[in-house]
Amino acid sequence: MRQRRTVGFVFACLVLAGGAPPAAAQSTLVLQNTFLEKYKNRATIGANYFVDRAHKKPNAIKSDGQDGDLHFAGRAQDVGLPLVAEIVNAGAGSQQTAVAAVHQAAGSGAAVPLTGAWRIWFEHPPGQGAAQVQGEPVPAPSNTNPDHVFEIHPVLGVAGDAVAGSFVPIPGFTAYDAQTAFGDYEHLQATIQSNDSATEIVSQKAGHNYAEFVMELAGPPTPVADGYFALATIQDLEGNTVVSDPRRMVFVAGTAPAEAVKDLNAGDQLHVLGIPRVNLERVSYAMQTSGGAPVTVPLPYEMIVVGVYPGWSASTTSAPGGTPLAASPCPCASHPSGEK
Amino acid sequence: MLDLTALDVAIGLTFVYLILSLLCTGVNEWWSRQRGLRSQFLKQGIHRLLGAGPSGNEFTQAFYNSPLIRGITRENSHPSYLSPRMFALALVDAARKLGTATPAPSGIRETIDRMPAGDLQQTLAALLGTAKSEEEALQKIEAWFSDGMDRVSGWYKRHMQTVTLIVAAVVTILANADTLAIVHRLWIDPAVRDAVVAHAQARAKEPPPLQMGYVGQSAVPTPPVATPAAANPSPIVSPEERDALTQLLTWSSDFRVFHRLVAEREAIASYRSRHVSNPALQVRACLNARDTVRSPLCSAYSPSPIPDCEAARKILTDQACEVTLRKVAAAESDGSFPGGGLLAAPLVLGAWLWWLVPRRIVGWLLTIFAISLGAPFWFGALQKLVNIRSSGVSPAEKKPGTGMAAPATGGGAG
Repeated sequence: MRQRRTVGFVFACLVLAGGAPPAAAQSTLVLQNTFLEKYKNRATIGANYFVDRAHKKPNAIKSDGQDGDLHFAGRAQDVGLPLVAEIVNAGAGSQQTAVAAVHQAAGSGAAVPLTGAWRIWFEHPPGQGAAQVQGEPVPAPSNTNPDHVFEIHPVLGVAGDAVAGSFVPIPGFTAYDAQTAFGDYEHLQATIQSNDSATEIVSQKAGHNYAEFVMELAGPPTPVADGYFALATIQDLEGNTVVSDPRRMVFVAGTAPAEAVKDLNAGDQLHVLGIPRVNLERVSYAMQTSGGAPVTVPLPYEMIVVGVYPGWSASTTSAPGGTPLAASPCPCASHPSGEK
Repeated sequence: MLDLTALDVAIGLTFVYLILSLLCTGVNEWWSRQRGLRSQFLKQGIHRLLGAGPSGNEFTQAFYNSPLIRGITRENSHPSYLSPRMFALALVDAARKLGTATPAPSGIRETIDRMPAGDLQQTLAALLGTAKSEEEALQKIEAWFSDGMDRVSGWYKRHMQTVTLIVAAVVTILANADTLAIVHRLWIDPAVRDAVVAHAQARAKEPPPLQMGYVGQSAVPTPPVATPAAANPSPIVSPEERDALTQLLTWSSDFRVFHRLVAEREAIASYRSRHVSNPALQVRACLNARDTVRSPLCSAYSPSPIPDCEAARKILTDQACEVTLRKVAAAESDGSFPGGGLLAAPLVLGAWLWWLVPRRIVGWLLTIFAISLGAPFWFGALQKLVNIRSSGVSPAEKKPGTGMAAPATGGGAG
């Protein structure tokens, strides 16, 4: 009888406390604060990259993971984390010199200079409860897609070969629609805390890499050293608003998307292909506002604009620079539109 | 009107448990940091895995001398966290240094095979028996380490459970947190109950969610100024909460009993000095006479037809009794901490503890068990109870100024 009362009491306590729903598998990334502060308002990163493994040829092009990218895994002291780099549109002719440079470097033991958009995204995280800590020794990857949270994707240049021309929509590829992709991004959660030297981000696995959507600028883009940042709301291709609070868009200098956005203004629209990354500027903001105390917030993210689709009525104002883009990759200095 | 007394008592009690749990957590963390418990347990676990005793062996020395471990360790201290990969790499590095082969082999399997023979070498050789690649070998070592760390976590948790119970007992007794006395006070005193419930409701409110949007900002905003809250984190208990809790968690009523016992003892000594026979009985008679005269049966009449009342009044006219009663009355209103007086009169202390412990022990044990459940449990319970209370209050009970329409005043138009 006493045992039953004890069990009943414990049961009542559990009922009172409430059963928490099972949590999605969580992984941890620890970044040095110096790194976070340096790159939070930068579009790209440059690194001396040891290429350990490289795809022999780019992915096929269809949908989801068949995105036409060339993956190459390696290590870079500048990053200090397991790392994968990806060249977009790697099958296109203008990327072949860079692809050859990657294959030549693979396994050679020689580092190659690599630049591209830095990308933190919990797409291939380590297992439940595991952590990747910046600065810890990085093991040599055993394949082209080891567990990683940090990418250089899209690559902008390899060993001096620029691939800015790869920043265009992927022909024949079906990206996720805005409702599906942003429906996922907007529901991701993160617990962030920091101390004097490092910031820890704990989040669950994320997906839906490439998203096709319409962005409507909330204001003119802000230039930074290596590109532009712009705040924009998100619509689907039917004009329905999917995300009404402005999200940050990232444009890499020297690419067609950067040329497309640089003269736009509030209300102007672009039909784009983008990939998400953790917004380190908002992570820094959260930590400064909370004094470093742990906070659980919607995972702050921003979109790297990989390509701009032609034929969209981009400008709702009379400001110049809103003309539709040609489909060809942009040797931007000679681009016919965008001149004031 | 819904009677919220029982609910308010539950809220008040839960609030007390929450505050005491937070205090316990703070003490636990301090204790764990001071003793370096996490690093001690990790060291114990690593030594067990590597087949070494508490003071280590040649292999553990080589392990800790690995540059990988030295790089993350402060001088004369042991790390409190070690990633599986770091462990695996350092273990292989140590095995390579202690191995018998010259030059040292580069492969992990070969390195383990050439380790000095022993239990560790046999364990690792068996572990890596089916590894087909260097990476797989490292992953097997990592998995072995992770299994070992699961056991270490179990040891640490059991140790901390014991520490938690001890800390809970100390906190409970120092605060005199008798659950039964707290419930009684909350039930009979509406002013104290209302004050505690108000603080509990404030405490149960979630902090406002952090606004992460860019509303009103540019795409590259200026960093915010650190908020005062961030610069001055709030204490575990605010001064207002402490004032409310003081009315519930107090030694003053128990110290009054101690002071009264001291006064009685002094009175007995005074009677003895006047060579009164049986001074203890005389003091007792004096105090009983006071209680008798105060009783409703005696105080209703003067003189009273009841013989005991008049006898009692006669005792009170004795000067010695008057002095005794004055001193006892003063002692009964003194709820201050006796300080050194606790130890100055051991017999009084014994009598007091004999009176105190049976009265408090059940309440204390309930409190110790409750606060050992932890602050997160009580915070969740408090939020649930406060939500129930908020949904149970009828509109008529809401205070003015909450949006209710003013009552109609006077006649119609025209």
